[in-house]
Amino acid sequence: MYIGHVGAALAAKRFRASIGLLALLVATYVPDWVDGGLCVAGVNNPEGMLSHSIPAVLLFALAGFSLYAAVSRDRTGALVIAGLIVSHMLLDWITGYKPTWPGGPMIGLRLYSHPVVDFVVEGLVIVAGALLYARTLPPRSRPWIDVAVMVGALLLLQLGIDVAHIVMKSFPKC
Amino acid sequence: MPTMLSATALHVMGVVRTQTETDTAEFSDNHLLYALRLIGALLIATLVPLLIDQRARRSSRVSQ
Repeated sequence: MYIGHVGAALAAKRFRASIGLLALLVATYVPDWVDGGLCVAGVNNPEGMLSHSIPAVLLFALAGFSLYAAVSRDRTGALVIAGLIVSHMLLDWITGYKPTWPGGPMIGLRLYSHPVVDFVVEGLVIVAGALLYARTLPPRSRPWIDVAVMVGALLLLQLGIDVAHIVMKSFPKC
Repeated sequence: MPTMLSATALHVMGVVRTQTETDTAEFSDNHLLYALRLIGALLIATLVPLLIDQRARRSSRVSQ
């Protein structure tokens, strides 16, 4: 999943409004940031084993929980952060094809090879997340404008990625 | 639970170290390009909603 992860972060804001959106956005993409770091470092990360497998994601969730709890003294917020990190793996199982554990099977629906279906699924996650996020915004005369801008921008980003998948035959992450 | 996590962490570190040693030579310009593309995409996916959120909260304060 690509921009759909932002939908998860927006939804998480509804569950713990005191958490800054930046922390939620960083948490929702932790496995991908690790992917990027490993790629820059030149470390071979076969099929995302070191970043997207169950043990790796559980370690990131534990680290995220510990870090956020230590900084904010908010254990419930830290649980939301940890849950969001785990959500990355679960959402990737819908659209991607990811490792479980070293030597274990690969799982996922591989929707990336069906960009239209991928767009619909990620769009649904984005809209659901934005609707939950809308309740965290202060009241104003036309609240739907903020949500429409957010949903529109995120859907455009997702559309760009899915079009790239259609145009390019190969879309390697690293 | 902590023992299991420690063992997993050690295993992952071992895999990283072994694979770094064997695969560094295979690191190519393409990898750097892909890494920059991934990091750029992550920055955009983080900054776009963040800026829209800031604008929404600021305009809400102004309109009140």
